[in-house]
Amino acid sequence: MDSGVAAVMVILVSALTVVVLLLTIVVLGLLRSHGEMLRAFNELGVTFGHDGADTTSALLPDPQRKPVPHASERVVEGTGDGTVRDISGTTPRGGSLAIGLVNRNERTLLAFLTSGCTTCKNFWDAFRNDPALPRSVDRLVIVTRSNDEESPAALVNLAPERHAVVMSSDAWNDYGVPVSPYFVLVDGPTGSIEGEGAASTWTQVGSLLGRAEADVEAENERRIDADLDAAGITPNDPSLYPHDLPGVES
Amino acid sequence: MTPLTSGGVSVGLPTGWEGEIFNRAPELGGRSLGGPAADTEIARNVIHLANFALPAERGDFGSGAVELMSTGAVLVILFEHGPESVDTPLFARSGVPQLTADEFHPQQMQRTLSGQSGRQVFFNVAGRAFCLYVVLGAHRQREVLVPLVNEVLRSLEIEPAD
Repeated sequence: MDSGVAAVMVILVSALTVVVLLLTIVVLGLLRSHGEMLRAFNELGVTFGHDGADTTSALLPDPQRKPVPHASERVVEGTGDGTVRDISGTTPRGGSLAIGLVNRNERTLLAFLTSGCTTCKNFWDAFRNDPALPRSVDRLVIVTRSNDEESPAALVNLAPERHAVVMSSDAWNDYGVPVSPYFVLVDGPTGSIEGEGAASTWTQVGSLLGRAEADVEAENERRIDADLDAAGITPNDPSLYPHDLPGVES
Repeated sequence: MTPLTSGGVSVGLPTGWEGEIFNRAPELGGRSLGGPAADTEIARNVIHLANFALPAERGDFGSGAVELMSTGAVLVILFEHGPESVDTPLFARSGVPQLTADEFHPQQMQRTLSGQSGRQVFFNVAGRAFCLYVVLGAHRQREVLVPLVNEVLRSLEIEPAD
């Protein structure tokens, strides 16, 4: 090998080394960026499980109220004290709006959204299409932050016609909303928070509410069984089958 | 009491009540459903107060909401008219009115609904003209429901017009 060829080889090897170093730096940068994105998603309450589905904290029944974590979930807990309060604020069009929640007959789902978060866009789009509400919900109320922290003009374009939108940072504080989007199910007759949590799609909210409802029913069943047991009434107890009642055939 | 304030009108709502104060001016995207046919002037403010869940879509005089009222429900509507109305005989009554159960009648409804009754009163206060329209979910419950209405009306504060 003459000295000319050797010099070319040295230059090529050096150039390749530089390229490899640059690529290494790029890959490290991408990995770091990816890590920061995952961390951001985690802070928003969205994690990515092994099944590939994004999951969030669950809407849970009172009295526990603490979301039950799934194996692939990072739980987002509200910081409210569990007290139901009426909400007062403004509307995106500049009016004043108060929403009554206490001592009411309805079950109200409060959707805490912002105009800017990407995940919230799913819900704004869904709510404008007036989706069917879950069986356990009588009405939907969207709560954003007040107009010193939120853009009324943006909300005018996002707000659905058939659901109330109230701008109230006080409500965010009262209900201890940790992230957006965040949902709180208020049971008017009992004046209690029946469940709360984060979700990334409207379909997911529906399934979470269904799960919360099933939990409530299971809890009721357990409570009734415990009450009967405490009264000495066990399964197949004759008193459960009152054959001697008028009109009841044995 | 939950405060509700806008357009120089403020009211304190009892627990569980809700309400909205909005401007119906077309350029602000206000509501345009319902309302008396003869009213073609530009109103300033519309105030809806209720002890039941108000639907987001409803008319100025409660269409869309009155159909949802149960027997214990109350709907209070204040509809502001323009300054040209203040000195007219229709708005001669001065001050926010207090109502009595005897004043309510099913025939005073904008649109008669079975079992319900209503009351409409025109008045002026602080140089502003208002129509007060109240609907009771059940006429037979008027002795119980009217005091709830008066409690809310007592908390009403109206500032002078600009």
